[in-house]
Amino acid sequence: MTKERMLEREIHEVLDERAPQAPPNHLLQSFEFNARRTRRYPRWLALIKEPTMRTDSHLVVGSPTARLAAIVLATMLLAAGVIGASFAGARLLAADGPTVVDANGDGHYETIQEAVAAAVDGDEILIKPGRYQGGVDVGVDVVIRGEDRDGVVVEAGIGCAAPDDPFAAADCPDDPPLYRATWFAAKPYAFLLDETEAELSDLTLELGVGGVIARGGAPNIHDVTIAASPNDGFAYIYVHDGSAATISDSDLGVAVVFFEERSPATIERSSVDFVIANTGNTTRTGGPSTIRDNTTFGIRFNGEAVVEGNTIIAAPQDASEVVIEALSSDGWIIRDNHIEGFSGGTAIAAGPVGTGTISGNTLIDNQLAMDLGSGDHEVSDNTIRGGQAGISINGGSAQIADNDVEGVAGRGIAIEFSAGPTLSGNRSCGNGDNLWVADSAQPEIDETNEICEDDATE
Amino acid sequence: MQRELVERARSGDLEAFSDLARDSLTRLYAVATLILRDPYRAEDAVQEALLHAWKSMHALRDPDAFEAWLQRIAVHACYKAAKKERRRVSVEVREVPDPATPGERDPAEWVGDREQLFEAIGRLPLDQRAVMVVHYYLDLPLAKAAEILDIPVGTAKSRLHHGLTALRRSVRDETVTVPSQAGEGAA
Repeated sequence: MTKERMLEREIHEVLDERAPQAPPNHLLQSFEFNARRTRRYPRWLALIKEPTMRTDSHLVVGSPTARLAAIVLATMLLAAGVIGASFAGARLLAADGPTVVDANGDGHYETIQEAVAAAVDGDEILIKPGRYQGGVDVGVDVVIRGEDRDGVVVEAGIGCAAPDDPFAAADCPDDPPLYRATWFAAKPYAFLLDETEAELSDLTLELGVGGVIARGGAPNIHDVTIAASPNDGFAYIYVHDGSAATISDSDLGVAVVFFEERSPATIERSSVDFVIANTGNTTRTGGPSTIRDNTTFGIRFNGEAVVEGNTIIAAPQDASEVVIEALSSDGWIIRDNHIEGFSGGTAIAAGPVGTGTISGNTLIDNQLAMDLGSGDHEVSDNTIRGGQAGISINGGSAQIADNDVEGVAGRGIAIEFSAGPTLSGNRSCGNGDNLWVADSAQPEIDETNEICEDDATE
Repeated sequence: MQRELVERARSGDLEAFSDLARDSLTRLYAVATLILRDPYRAEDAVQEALLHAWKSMHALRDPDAFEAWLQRIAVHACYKAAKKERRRVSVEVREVPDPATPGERDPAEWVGDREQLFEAIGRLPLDQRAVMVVHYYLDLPLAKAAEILDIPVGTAKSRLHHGLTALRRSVRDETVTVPSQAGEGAA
C-alpha cells in the first residue's frame, strides 16, 4: 500500500472513530417542536429559493427555469422602480454623503423609519437633534448615527400593554386602547435590528417599556444612552436568535440586557443594570457570551461565557443579590471582576452542576464571597476581604489555589459535606474561622497553604 | 418506502418527515460535529438543516435524492455556523520524538498517532475539512462529495489535495527535537 493510501486509510479510520455514535436524544424532538411553528414555503417559492442540485446530471432539486424567471421579473420591477422614483425625485441609489433625518423637515426625511425603509446596505443615516418616534424596523446593513448623543432622542415604539399589564407605561392613551399579546406585538421597541450588521450609535433612547431588539445578525450598538423614563417601566436590550451583537461604550441606565437563544453576543465598557445571558437554556449551553469591563449590578449566565473585568458595587436596594451567577454549564470564565458591598448577597455563585474558572477576582464586604456548587471548578488568585463568609465549597473536586481570604466574620474557607477539593497555596487568616471542614468532606490540603492559627476543624 | 415518506412529507406530513430525518440523523450529526468540531454548534447546524429541508420540501423533485439533499443543506448550515462563530483558536504545538533523520515525516508514522492526526484535521480550513469529512467519513466518491458540497469536482479534488498536503506539512512543522532515547525514532 502506498504512503498516500495509508494516510487516506488513517484519515478514514480516525474520522470513523471520532464521529459521535448517536445524536442527542432531544435533537429530533426540538426540531419537531420548532417545525410545528414554522410556515413552509409554497411550491413556487421553494423552487425559486432552493439552489438547484444535480445528481449524475439529473436535476433533483430546485428549478433553474423558475429562478431565471424570478431574476428577470425582479430586474424588470427594479428597473420600473428606478424609473418611477427618478420621476418622483426620491433617492433610491446611494448619494454622496449620509441620508439626513431631521424632525424639523430640513433633511431628506422627517422620520427614522422612512430613511431606513429607503436605505440599502452600506448607507449612512445621520439623525439631527430632536425627538423621534421609535418602533423602527432595521433589516439592512446601515449605519444609524445621531449627530448629538444627548440631543437625538428616540422614544419607545408605538403600542401599549393591556391596562393590567405590570409593565404598562403610565401615560398610555386609552383612545383607542392598544393591546398586545406579547411584548413585541405592538412594537414597543425603539429599534428592531433584524438579521443585520447595522450600526447604531450616538443617540439617547427614552424608554418606558421598550428597548432595542437584536434578532440574529451581528449588529453593533455603541455610544448609546438609555435615559430613565418618567414612567415606571422596563427598559431592555434583547439579543436573541443566535445574534452576535456587540454593545459597547454605552450608558444603559436601568436597562436589563438579555442574551438569549445561544447568542454569542458581547457587552463591554458599558454601565447597565443587569446582564442575563442565555439562561433560558437548561439542556444546552449558550453563548459564548462576552461580558467585559462593564459597571453593572449583576450578571447571570448559562453557557461558555467570559465574564471579566466588570465592576459591580452594590446600591443599597440591591445588597441582597447573587451578583455573578453561573448556571448549569461548562467552560465559563469569571475573571478579574470587582464585586463589593453585597452585604446580604453572594458575590459569585456557581450552579449545582457545570465546571468553570474563577480567577483574579476581588470580592469585598459581601455576605458570601463565593458559593461553589458541586462542579470541579478551578478557583485561583482571588482576593476576599470582609463580609460574613469567604469560599464555600459544596461538593465536587474543585482546584482551590493561591486565594487570599482575610477579615471575614465567619468561615474563611468552608468545605462542606462530601466535598473533595484540592487546596494549595491559599492564605486564610484573620477570619472568624479560617478553615472549616465537614466530617464527611475529603479535601486534599497541602503544606503550601497558610491557614492561620485560629482555624477550627470539626 | 422512502419514496412514500418523501411524498407524504412534501404534502405537509411532519411525522413522515420526522421518520425520514430519524434515519439520517446520526450521519448528519456526525458530519456536522466532524466539520465544526463542536457538538453544540453541530446540534444547531443540524436543527437548522432539518428546518430548512422541512420548509423547502416542495423543491425536492426526486424523492431518492432526499438524503443527499439533506446532507448538502447540513453542510451549508455548518458553513453558516462557522461564519457566525467567534472563537479564539489556540494552536497547540506538540512535541513528538524526533525521527533519526529530521525532515518530512513519513506518512506511515501516522499509524498509531491518531490523536495528532485528528487535531491536524481540525486545524484545516473549513472548506478542506468539509471535503475530507464528506469524502472519507461518508465514504462517497469525490464526484458525489462534490454534489453534496455544491462545488465542481475539480474544486473538490483541489481542496482534498491541499488538505492532504497541509496535513503532512502540519505534522512536520510541529516536530520538535527532543533528546532521543536509545532504540526510539524511525529509521
